[in-house]
Amino acid sequence: MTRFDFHVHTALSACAEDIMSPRQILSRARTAGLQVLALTDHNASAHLAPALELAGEFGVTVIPGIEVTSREEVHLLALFAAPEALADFQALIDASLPVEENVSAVFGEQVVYNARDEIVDVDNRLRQVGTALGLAQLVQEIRGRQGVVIPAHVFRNRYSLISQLGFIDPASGFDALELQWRQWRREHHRRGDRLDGFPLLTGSDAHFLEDVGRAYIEIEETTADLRRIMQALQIGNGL
Amino acid sequence: MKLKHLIQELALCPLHVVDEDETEVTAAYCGDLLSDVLAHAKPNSVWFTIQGHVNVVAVAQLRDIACVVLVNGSAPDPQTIAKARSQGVNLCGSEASSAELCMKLAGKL
Repeated sequence: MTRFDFHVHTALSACAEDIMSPRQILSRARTAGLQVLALTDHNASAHLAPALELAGEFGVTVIPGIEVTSREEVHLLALFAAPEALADFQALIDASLPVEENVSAVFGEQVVYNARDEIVDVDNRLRQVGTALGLAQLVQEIRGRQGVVIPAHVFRNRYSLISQLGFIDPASGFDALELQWRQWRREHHRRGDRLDGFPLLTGSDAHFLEDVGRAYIEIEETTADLRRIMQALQIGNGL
Repeated sequence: MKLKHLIQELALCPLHVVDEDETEVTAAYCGDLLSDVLAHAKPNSVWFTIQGHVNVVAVAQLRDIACVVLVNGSAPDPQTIAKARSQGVNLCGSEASSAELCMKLAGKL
């Protein structure tokens, strides 16, 4: 059996708690009974490397991930099988973000930790903003790097497919759709549910440490391989 | 045009306004995508938007916006007013649309 929380923020996201270091998150994940998680910071991924260092210590597999903001200001989760693919995608994001400084008084700080819970940097680049990359292009760029594309919180009142576009296009090439966990619970969803032809999933979208693993997807098979997990969820297009 | 006159001219509802006698408004922008506003809004603009969330305050700061006007009766989040206060960003509201307000403003800035 595998429990996978694919939507988790770290201190690197300005809107998340500053104490959310890779070490604290993995410790919390283990306590919450997760076997796999993806760190999905807003347009950033510097915590992947320290998290991978720690994975063995906590017995939790870390999947390379990111939450990218499209030009339309839709949030898209991208999960990759290989760290190199995420690094390459990150370079594209960095080139597509406006060159501005973070307004930490409003957004919060973007804190960078190492694997020993030491703060090594503060990221001063504005990342709580849209990139210049449209949705269609982002789907291509993620798929082109063997990634999985999951629009985040699709019914949220902002930064979602519904808030920004007003509809979900069945032909848009997404691999699955994420529902906010409250909606998932309220509507009694189960693994296997679909909307407009897309598999529905939920994750924690944790911005606070205690929320890591409050929601997750579960499959019977014991695996930490992204491809196997997606196959078990019958999500096969992207890989 | 002084912000004080803009508020009167457009019958805006002040939500958080400081220095309306001195603040000069020299341009206008309509935009609901923050990255678009970042790319195009000029300093000392009045910014018409439906977005009431707190990120609007950050963008207003980054671009030296003279006043943010929430249109279509759009309500600000509670944090937005608090942040506008702490960051010194002017915030007003209106039941009218961006188009209606801009048409009233035409030729006056």
